[in-house]
Amino acid sequence: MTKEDQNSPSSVELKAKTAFDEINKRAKNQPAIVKKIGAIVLFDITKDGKFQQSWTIDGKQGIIYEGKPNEGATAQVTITLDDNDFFDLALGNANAPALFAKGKLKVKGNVMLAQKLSILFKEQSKL
Amino acid sequence: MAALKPLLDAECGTTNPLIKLSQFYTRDNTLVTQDGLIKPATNNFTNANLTGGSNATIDELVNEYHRPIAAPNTFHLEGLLTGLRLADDTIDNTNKHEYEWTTQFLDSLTNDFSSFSTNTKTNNNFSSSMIHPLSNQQIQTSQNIINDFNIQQQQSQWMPWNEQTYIPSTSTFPLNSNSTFLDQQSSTVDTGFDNDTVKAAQNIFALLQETQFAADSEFKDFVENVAGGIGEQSTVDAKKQEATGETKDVTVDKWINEFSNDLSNESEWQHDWAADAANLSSLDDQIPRSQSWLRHLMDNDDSYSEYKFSKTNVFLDHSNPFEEGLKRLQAHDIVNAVLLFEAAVQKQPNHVEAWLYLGITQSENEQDGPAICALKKCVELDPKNLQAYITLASCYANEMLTNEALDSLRKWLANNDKYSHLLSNRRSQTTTNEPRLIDELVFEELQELFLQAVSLSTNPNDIDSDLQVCLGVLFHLPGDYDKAAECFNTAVLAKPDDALLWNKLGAALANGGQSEKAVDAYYHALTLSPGFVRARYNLGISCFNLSAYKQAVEHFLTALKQQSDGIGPQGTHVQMSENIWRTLAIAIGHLQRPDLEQSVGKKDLSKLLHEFKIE
Repeated sequence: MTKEDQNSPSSVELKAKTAFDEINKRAKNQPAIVKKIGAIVLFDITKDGKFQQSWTIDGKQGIIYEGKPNEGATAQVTITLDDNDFFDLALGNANAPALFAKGKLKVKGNVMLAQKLSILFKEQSKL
Repeated sequence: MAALKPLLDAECGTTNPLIKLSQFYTRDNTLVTQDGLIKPATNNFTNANLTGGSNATIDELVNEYHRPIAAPNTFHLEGLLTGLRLADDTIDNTNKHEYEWTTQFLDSLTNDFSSFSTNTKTNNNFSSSMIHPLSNQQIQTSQNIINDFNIQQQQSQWMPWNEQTYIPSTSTFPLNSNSTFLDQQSSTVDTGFDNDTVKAAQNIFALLQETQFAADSEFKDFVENVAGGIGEQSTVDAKKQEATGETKDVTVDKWINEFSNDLSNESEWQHDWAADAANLSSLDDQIPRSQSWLRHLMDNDDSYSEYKFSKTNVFLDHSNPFEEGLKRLQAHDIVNAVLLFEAAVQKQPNHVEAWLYLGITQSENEQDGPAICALKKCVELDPKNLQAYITLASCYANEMLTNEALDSLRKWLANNDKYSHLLSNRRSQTTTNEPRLIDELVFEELQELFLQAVSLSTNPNDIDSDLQVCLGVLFHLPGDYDKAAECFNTAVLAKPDDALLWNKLGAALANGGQSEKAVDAYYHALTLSPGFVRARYNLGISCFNLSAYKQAVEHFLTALKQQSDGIGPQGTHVQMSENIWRTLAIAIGHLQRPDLEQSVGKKDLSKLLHEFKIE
């Protein structure tokens, strides 16, 4: 095992992967939910400050997949955050604006689009 | 319940935090005008920070507001807002910004030439020399070039230069020519490029020639075309380019990617923005403000245009369904009230109040879709109906339709005699019918307006609860749940018997993670109105968030039962809320009862009710 192998992204266990699997399950239950986001959101998950893996939430097609946006799709929002923080976010234990305020979550693009993601992470209470 | 004591006790003399907040706005104008927004990061408006109110010295307050906040470096909102304020004044100004980008691009090319051609990773050099186009640097005025870029003078306020000027030749992109926009475009997009543009293109082309970098880029081809005065081809492309948002994105994206894979924050933000703005240049009435807006228009046009009535409605032959509906509403029998109002509007399609109440009650019934339909009908008939707008705003907020929610809030303000003057006092803004750019701008503007409205009231005991609700919904949109909860809290102080307000308070608390307080609020709502389906649904959600899964399931089932009870004999046409079923499914999933999951899948309500012993 060379040093490179140990550091390659695929070998690092990311909580984000579990989280995204859960999100996908929830999305299958409610097909329209991803489309509600309406935008293409790219998540760049880091760990210990280093970029690990990306996930794309394509709110136009209504699909979520690992990796950068497919050919022909452009992310309108890119969110960068640490694996642990993302996990909290996905569980609904943290919310994006709070993380953002603490500087743990970085957003490129339309922030308000990013806010719509909360429907994926937890049940929204209705006004 | 102890937590709620302060809410319930009416203490004389205590000022509510929001009034204090508004005092800051009247006193300390620098905060508002400096960057035109309340940065969510500040969190200055919680009670804790407003200690003393009038006792705090001006210095303390000023320091509080001006303490360095780690503003995200992705936002250059100051520059952006200033730039856009300039843009709002005249159309020409907008293009000055774009032109500035071009000149800077040219400058940077001249500077970084050698590194461009030799360095495969061109991005680094490029992005470092790019200056944010919207900074307050001197804006160059070369009218001719501006006008050329501005092909549709009066239509769009933002000329997305990267769409109009850098359109690649046809061969390289798969273009979809199905679009209603095409026809609209044809009449205006037919000007060739005149001399100045050609000259600019020639300059750019000359620079590009010197590098190997842009050897094969479509951009280079295009510039070559423009330089050669081949305007026609470019316009044809422009037409086709209008076709789909996706294609546009591909174009813009490819172009930008060719120059810098790793865009700097500024340029990517601007790109996103311009891409959004690109949608504005259509002549079509349905001008989308942003891509999501367009998509929603196209998707939701169907779902919100026609109200879908219940298939079986025992009240259709009722002599006076509207009156009866109001009675049932008073008795908190929401589900039957819905049916009665449906009957009322079917009898009298122009009955404004019936549509209004239908909307309100459907929303209480956890059916935002039909609620929105009904409310839209209501404002069609009565464009000044404030209650409809405020309810619409909440419904849109629930459906995550941010633009629409902001629009409804604005209409509430515009049609409200108490506050409409605030809108007209502002510098000539776009009216509600013109397209706006991005959610954020509208949001900032509305925030200012609403806070001004709040500050109008000098008497701390005179609370306009509707205004507070609007403000609460506004804060709820970007996820400022704490502030939203404060607003709803204030509203509830003024109207402690309004179950809807308690529910809103609960929802804001719950979405902000304060599940226990939320539960308290929901109990208030349900005590006042036991048939309040939505409050019960929300209560279930909060139980779920607190990991009380069994209780959550019980609440969901009770809510579903209430909905199904309203429709006479249990038939197959029961109009129950999909949301509730879905969340029920998730909650049952946590109970590890696969047998029950089956029942949920089949929507076998009676079996489930029996299982959980709910009468």
